[in-house]
Amino acid sequence: MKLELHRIRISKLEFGSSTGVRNGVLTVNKDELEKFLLEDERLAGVSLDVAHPGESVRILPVKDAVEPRCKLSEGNEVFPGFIGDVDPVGEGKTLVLEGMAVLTTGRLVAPQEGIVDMSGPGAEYTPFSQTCNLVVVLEPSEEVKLHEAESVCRIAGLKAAHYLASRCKEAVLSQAVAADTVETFDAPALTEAMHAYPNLPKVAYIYMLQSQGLLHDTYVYGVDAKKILPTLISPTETMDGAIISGNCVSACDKNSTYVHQNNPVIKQLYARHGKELNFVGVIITNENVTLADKKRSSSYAVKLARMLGVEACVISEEGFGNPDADLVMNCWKAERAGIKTVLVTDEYAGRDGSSQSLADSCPEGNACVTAGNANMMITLPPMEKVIGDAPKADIIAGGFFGSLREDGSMEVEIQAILGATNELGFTRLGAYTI
Amino acid sequence: MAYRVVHYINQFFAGIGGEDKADHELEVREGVVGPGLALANALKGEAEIVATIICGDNFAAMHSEQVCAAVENACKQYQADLLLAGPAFNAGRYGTACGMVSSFVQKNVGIPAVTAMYKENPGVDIYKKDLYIVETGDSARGMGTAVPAMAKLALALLKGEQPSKEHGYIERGVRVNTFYDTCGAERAVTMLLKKIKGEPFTTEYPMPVFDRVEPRPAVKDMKSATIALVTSGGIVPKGNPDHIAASSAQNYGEYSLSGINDLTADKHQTAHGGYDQTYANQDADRVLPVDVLRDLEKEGVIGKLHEMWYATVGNGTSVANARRFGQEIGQKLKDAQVQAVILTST
Amino acid sequence: MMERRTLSGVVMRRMLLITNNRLFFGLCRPGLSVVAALEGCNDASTPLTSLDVVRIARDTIHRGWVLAHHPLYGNVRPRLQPFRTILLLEPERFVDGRPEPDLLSLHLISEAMTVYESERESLALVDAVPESLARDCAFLDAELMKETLAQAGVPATWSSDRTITCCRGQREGERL
Repeated sequence: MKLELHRIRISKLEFGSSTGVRNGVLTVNKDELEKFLLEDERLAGVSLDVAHPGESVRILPVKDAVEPRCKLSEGNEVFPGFIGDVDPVGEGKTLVLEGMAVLTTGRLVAPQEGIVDMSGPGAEYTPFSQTCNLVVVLEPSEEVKLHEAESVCRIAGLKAAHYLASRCKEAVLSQAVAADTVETFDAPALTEAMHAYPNLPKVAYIYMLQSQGLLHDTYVYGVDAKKILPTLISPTETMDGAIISGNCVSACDKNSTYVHQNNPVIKQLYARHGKELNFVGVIITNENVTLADKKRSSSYAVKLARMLGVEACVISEEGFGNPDADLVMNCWKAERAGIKTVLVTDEYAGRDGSSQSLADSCPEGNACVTAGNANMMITLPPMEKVIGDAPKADIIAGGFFGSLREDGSMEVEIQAILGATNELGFTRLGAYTI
Repeated sequence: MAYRVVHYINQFFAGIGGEDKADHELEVREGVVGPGLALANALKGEAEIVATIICGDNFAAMHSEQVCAAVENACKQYQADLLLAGPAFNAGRYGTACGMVSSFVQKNVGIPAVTAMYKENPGVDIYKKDLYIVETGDSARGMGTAVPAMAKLALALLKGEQPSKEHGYIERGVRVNTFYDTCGAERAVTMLLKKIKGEPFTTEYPMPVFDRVEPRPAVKDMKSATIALVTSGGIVPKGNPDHIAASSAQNYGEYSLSGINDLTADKHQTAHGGYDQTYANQDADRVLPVDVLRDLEKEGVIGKLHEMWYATVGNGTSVANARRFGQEIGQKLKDAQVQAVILTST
Repeated sequence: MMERRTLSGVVMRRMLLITNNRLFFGLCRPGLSVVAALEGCNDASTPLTSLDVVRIARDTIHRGWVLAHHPLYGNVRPRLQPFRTILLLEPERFVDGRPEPDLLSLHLISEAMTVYESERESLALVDAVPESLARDCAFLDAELMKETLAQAGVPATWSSDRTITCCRGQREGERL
């Protein structure tokens, strides 16, 4: 499978009469997009706003971040199972509006965070302070039950992202607008992959997906990840949105759809493919709650790695708490099968940094990269503008966010900041022991 | 202008006396005392020891609130920029006292504190997450290296520098966030490649290693089993004939239960300094349930209660000592063909 | 694993649901006992804390009962979730008629105790959090137990006002 990503760099977002891109500026027809999203009757209200890097803007509670993409070639559309049909993706040509993100907000439950500060100390902790953001503020109808409300918001984000990219498709196909970069990713058949680069170690990526239940789910081709057996997926499929986030809790380390689309582990493995390693494949697995499922999935994922005959695996986790048990099982089962591992995770070492960072451990986990301690406190200054739903004082008092001061500043753990300790290793944050 | 430092030491290093003077009440003297002289020299004029607090180790253990308050007052009175405590080497009560006052001062006076002790000193586990503790040898023979290390670390903290591994402090076990030069994914693949090639690499998070003990199978025939009682709750014959210390115990005792069906206030007591002794002194069965086991023996539920009991004080016990006691007591019980042990702790 | 073989065929293992979440108090199914973690003995009693639930589960695991699921949540710390529900299955292995503790359950519950104990000073308490938070947290606790209950053969249906509907019959409950 071969996929070409045609990237147009977006440096500014503005509202205008017609949705399209020109000279790096994406104009959005507000009415048209709002109307399009409101076609889903389960939404009572939609409003759009924009936020640019450096502005004094706070966006919360962010539900998901999605990068606008659409197919340029024939065949299935992106986000299979939601926008696209359920047939495979990951081939042909895909248009990417780079440098921007669609951020959906909508308070589904009281305890929900997900802060993006476009400037100030908080901006350092989220990748989305660096993107031009189209914020879609969603309000599901009151009659809609929580399951559906979550689904409605999830799909709205995908629809908005797809809409933006598809409005630029014509211009790209007619060459009125040129892509800034075109990058090709090759995912050859296993017969070829196995024999390529015989002197280089074969490496696979075990990609753990959160699948605990409502607000803690991930979807693959529209299928709830808790229902899957671990399986192979081509890295190019992830670039076409085959994996979608339904995970709304724990802003710092949930994988937003955006990071699934731009998986940095896949990016790194491709970058060093053919030079230092032979990137043979990606195994997706889940993080279910029952012990039987954990046992089955970890054994199965490692079995797939053995079937691929790989020498080593990168294993990334999503979330914390009971998924730490899955991470540890994946690790020791792989290691005992003779497959070397490196783990990518984050830490919950308490506000003073002295608690045990992971809820489980194994001596085989001797190579571990972490995205930092999520419990670290930070003071976020008040922002001139808040987009979304400002936290209610009683929720703050309930200790959920941290503490909200009268002047609008907040003292929160970085856990509340979107993508702060992303466990795909998206950011440069990490930790060390003193 | 030199930084002002206050120094905390115990009765032994102040030259007042040994164990017999451990109840020495806290006092404050101007200038240096004992090892303070060497410390002052090592501070090379950049900082001076303006006052020394001397306190007996037992006094510190029994009057912790009063001692902390006194140390806080002394630091404020002498306008200290930093507190130095020790070095305590392997002296458990001294190390714990140094950790206690250092941690208190850091929190309540807001100045940095530096102490020093041997890595197995019980004060380490309790206070390392709060404090920089310079690692020393296990005896005062290590004074020559401890002093310059303490001075160096103190000066670094006074100047607002971030201490590094070179300052020789015991790892605090505290995780601190930092931004690396590259993203986590890149660091992960780099680490994996090193691991594949067998090259050395450093994990960003050392997994904690748990000293897991395999549980023994359940006792099959309880009716004929000999059950022993062992406690770290400090129950000893009245008068504490083996002088087991109220904290940082260096020994355990072996005592006979022959002819004893019930522990009483006139013949038994607790030696443990870590809890209110009133109720254990009134009736030591509350911590070492001899009376209940005698009942079970009479009723035929168990075969018999082993004729010896073993006791130590589990209060700031060093891991090394605890391990040694366990192994020795375990061996004795095994030799005596005891089937099972009831371990009580407080 | 959820089943037990007997001479008369395969039966579901007996189950204990230990919880401080009122949504579960009405749950009933043959073979399932709901242990309502309450202070006092009536419906109006204050629920115990999430740490208490974990402790009761630990004590029961010491008597040989087995965890059906991991006792920690994904993504939520005890400081933020006042509820905890744990499903245990009856002991599987016996030695001389006495149940033998399951080592994996022991390991997981003691790791969970460490996490809950480390936040004991700042546990979210049912009565101390704002009402909207308590309502949503109770609902989420129940949702996250759904898959485990379903695999154990206990379907839970949710009505629109977010409470569990019980089958016709009385609530089985026992206090430990």
